[in-house]
Amino acid sequence: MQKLLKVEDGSLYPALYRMEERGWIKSEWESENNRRAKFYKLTKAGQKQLAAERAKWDRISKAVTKILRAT
Amino acid sequence: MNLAFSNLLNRHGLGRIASDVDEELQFHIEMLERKFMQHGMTSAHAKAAALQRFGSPDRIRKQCVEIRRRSRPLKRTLKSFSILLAFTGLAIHIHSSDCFITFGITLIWWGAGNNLGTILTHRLYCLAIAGAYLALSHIFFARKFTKTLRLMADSVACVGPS
Repeated sequence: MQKLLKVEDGSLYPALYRMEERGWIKSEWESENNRRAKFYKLTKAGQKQLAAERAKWDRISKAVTKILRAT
Repeated sequence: MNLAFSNLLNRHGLGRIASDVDEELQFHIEMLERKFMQHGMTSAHAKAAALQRFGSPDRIRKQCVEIRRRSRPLKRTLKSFSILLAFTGLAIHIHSSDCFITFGITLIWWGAGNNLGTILTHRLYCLAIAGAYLALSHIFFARKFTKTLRLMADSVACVGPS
């Protein structure tokens, strides 16, 4: 089961770039340990999207729980 | 980095984007390496484990560069321009004769179709741009229309009974 759900760390980056493209997050280069590092922040549009996705996930998980309990 | 890919990127002015992506990915891989070494792995083992955990940096880099290329400022400007063109079409549709209606509708369809994602993401901005643009075009076309009417009235007065 753990192997089935294994997600590579690197797959995070295309997702971050897509979210930035849609205006949900904003990135900035900052210095950390004498090196440049990129930091991501959630934008207002991103907060709205997050709330919408959370609500969507709640609806789906409640529906699946109901189905599982009924069987 | 693959030399041919790097050359291709530089030729299209994307070298900077690629090097930024490289730096970002490299930072993550090095952090993983450090974490594995703190857990007692040798440097070589930590490097291999970090790459296994991270996935193929080449594949991820290509995906990120492609996404960044899509959202480049030039493309955004072109998108905004096509939105403006679409609303120009709408203005022509509202203020001009029937022969412009097809042209106006085509522009609106083209602009809206090409920018549906942008319009949906930035609904408020698009609404504000559309409002401002329609107001400006209304002022411009209305003045032009009034001026034409005045000219017509003057010419009628000139040729009218004295």
